Amino acid sequence: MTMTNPTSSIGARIRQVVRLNFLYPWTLVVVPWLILAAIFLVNLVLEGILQTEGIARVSASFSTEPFLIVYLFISANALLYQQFPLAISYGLSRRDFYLGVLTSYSIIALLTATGSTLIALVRGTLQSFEPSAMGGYFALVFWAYLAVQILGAAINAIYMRWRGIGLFTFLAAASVLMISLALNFGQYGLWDAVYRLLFSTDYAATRVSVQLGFLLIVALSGYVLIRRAKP
Amino acid sequence: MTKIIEVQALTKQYRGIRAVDGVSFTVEQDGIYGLLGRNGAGKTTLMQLITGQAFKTAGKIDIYGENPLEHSAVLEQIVFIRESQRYPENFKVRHVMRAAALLYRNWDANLASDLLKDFRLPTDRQMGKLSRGQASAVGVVVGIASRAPITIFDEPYLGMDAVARTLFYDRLLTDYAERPRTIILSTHLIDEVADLLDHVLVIDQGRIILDSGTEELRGSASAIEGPSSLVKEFFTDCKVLESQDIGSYTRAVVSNLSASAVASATQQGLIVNPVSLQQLIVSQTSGELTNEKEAAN
Repeated sequence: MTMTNPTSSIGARIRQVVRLNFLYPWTLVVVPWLILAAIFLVNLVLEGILQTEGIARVSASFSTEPFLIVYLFISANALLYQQFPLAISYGLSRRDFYLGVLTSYSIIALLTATGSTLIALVRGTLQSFEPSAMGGYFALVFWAYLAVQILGAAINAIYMRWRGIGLFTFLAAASVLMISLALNFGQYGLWDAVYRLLFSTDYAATRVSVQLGFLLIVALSGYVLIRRAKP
Repeated sequence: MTKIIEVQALTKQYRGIRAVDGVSFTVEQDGIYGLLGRNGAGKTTLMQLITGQAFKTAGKIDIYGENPLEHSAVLEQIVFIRESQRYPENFKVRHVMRAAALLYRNWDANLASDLLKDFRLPTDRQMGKLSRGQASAVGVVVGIASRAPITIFDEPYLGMDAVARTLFYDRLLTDYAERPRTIILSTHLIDEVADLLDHVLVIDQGRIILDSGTEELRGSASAIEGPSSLVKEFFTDCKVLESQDIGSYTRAVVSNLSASAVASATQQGLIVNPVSLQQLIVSQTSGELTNEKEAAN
């Protein structure tokens, strides 16, 4: 009993998924760049108005990152949820599909971070940024864009595995956990320590390790859920 | 013939309901199999289990000797065209064709293009804006043009008009003749597909109640009709699948009627006819229900 068709390698299957993901590039590539371009133009117009009015340059301006973070969270959700049934019907395994989607997320993060960095470079905002180097800024936004997509996919995977009841239970549990943590931090005076952990340069290495670990756990959780999801 | 799908004691239970109940059968390479049964009989669940889309409760499924669940090499030999396939919201027909072209190494773009024209499908229209029949036709195009070694259609014709359905059967058969493969077609339009099928699996209430070659099955049953007293004399020598009395007249579907019994019946003025596949399956499945009701009472 042998298969009549030769089989493809895992690398080839991941490439297939990536190409499937980018079959409709509008939502994944074009819209993020449109957001970048729109915010860039708004900032240019604002600066023009300020200069016309004789007001000295202010450091405040619309930032692209929050918009893109929200957008990528939603588009990552849509990508996974909408393409999963088609991919599974057309002979892909859940594992190959998930690995392919994670690869696509990395490509999207790379492209969008490149756009963000170019705009930041043009606007000369890098001087006020720590670490004050383009590479540092690029790495930071790439990381943020990738993390938010993986987080979105994992939350979506809860829905795909257990539908509405699972998502509701997760959100309720997450809310209770967050409130409990906030109350405990307040009661035991831990907010200063949390602030230092989040923002102090002394803890940069710890922070990166914690974030990497957290993202790895989130990505693995997404995989565990997708493995039992039904289209 | 080579067995490529082997299912043993397969069971799927959903909160107390056995959608598939201890099913065993085999599927051989290069043949057209009909998975027939009433609505809710367990056809879709069975196909979802075979293609690794649903998770079994018990039993064993082997495709090419491997469990298909999450087995990439096995899964890429299969195309499963579902009755209610969900497509990405922004996908147009051409995106679906390109997706299939990406994922199936035997994809025939020329054949797909011809089929799209035959079914008059607008390639630039969003999937969500197609009529039910057009969306079904897109599935049919992918199912045929992918030329996957195992092609599974789950009621692929929903919403398709009679012309489109006939076109589907014709093109499927033509392509199958040129490039034989294993096709499983789930349907309840039995008469329409009867001439396509090499083998029939009938599922009812989650159980396979018939597993037979189509020709063998056709020859296995007859309809006998005439005065009740004469017809019922033959009931002792054969299995009665269905019997209907209209006054003193009886029409029955029976199996295992010997050649001598047929000759004798004809001599006595009774009408003996072969039964269609649909008649046979209706009598089989309604018989199962009758037996169960009787047992319950």
